[in-house]
Amino acid sequence: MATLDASRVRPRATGFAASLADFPGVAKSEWTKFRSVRSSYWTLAIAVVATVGLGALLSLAVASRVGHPHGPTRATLDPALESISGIFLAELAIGVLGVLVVSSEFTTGLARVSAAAVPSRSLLLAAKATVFGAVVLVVGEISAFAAFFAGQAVLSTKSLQTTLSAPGVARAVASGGVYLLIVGLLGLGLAGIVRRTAGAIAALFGLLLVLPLLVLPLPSPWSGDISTYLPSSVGMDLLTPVRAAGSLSPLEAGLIFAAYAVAALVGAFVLTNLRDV
Amino acid sequence: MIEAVGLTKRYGQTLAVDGLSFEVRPGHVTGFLGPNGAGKSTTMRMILGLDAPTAGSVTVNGRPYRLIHRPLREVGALLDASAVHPGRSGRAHLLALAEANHIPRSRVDEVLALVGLTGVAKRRARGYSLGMGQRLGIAAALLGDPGTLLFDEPLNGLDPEGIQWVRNFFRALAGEGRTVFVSSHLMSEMALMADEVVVIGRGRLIAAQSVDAFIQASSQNFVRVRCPRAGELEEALVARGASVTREQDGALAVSGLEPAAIGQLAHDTGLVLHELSPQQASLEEAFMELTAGAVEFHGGGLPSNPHLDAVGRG
Repeated sequence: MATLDASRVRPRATGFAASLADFPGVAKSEWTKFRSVRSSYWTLAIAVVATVGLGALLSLAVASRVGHPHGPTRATLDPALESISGIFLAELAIGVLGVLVVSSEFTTGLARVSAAAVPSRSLLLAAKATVFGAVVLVVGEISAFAAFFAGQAVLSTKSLQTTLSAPGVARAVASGGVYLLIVGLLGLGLAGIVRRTAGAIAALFGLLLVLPLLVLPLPSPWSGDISTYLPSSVGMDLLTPVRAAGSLSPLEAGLIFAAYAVAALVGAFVLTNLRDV
Repeated sequence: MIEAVGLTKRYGQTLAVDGLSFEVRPGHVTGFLGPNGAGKSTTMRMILGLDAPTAGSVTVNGRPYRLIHRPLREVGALLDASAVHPGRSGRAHLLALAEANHIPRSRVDEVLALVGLTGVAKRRARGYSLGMGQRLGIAAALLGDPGTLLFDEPLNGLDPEGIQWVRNFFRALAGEGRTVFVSSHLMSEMALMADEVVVIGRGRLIAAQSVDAFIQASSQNFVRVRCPRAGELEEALVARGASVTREQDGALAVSGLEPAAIGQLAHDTGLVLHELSPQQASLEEAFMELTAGAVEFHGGGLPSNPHLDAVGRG
């Protein structure tokens, strides 16, 4: 072991500039953390299988009902949305993974070790969100396109398929990865606020799944007005190729959907800087 | 060098740390002692910038921890050996810490070898024994080859061989000029390891001095005297202002007089002494005496006995 090196004790620049310079190292560290636990792989694998497998399965079910009295026709079917609908199952896995990336540090006590290594709480959270977000975006995009092509291959047996050049289809499919990114970061942000796994998952599922049910029984103009802006509705609009009458444009829907994740992340950033670890 | 000035931490109604001021100097192993709930762990967390002080400040090498750039190169700490993701290997755990502080990858294998974990480095931490976890925590603290080291109860879970290794290792680190600050409830170990002590009770400073001075200050120091005519000697000693108690086997425990004065007195009185031996309090006895009024949680029932009273971790 080397003896003391006096140069190491020299004060250095701190603050935002230093944080920026440290970002690559901290991001690398977060990448090492992410790839060194099996739950990351399992959860991503579940998301991929759900997106591609369920998309193909739903397409198969649709194709098998062609010719029945109430079976699908070119007019009633949205072949693109049908093929990427597995995303609505995959989002649960991705959301939980986003929660775990943060909450597992608090449940194991690792949060203190991490905060001692990286005293800037914002830098640590930003690196975590960036690494996790990048992984989810890449995996999500690949899965969405794979699901689309698998689904169209199945639907083409009954000539119900569409192509990426059809109106809105390329945009809708490409939004698949973005959709999962937003849900993942929403989970990560909520975990930053709540710090506990169960609480953060409950909050996430509450927002995505329970809230729409609670709004449903409200008196008529309110129910519709509110539900238009709920995460589940704007998410659906984001993945739908052709805008339905009365719904938001894909850009509006995407921005509102993203705003939920941004709000959770801002809350996490503010609280992580205010609270003790 | 760690310096706390008026360090205070309040949790709601509870004052966990109350105006604590002390210095931990380089080149020594400094023991951090205090009964359960005295505020040792809270103090350690404030040193590392994990908890913000309610009042006062604490600095390492003159700066608050959170202003230290890539701090693992300057300060290494082990707060809780179980603070590892159970699904992550020891090596990946250390690698992530190294990368965050621009510490070369080769250093990870170096510290693994240093603590004797090379063989299990790729195993998931879930399968580690208590002692292996403790060694991993020590490896993490050493990762950046820091000049200041903090350890909260580093001996927990170690076997006697491991304890001896840690003791020698910490002394060697201090010998290299590093600042080593160690909390432990194993007083006998602390007596062998530490040169200096910082003792706190109920969040307040009780003593900050050398181990020797700390023990000297204890009233538990006495001179054991055996004399065939103990009664006469006792009278003479009391007449000279000493305080005398009888031990179970009839020996006299004398405090307030030096051995030389006792011998002279015996000679002057014409008494024969069979034993005249100065007894020094153990660190544990000195600690028990000084913290007696500052114990947060007393064990109930049993009569007070310094060797039975739990001096648990705080």
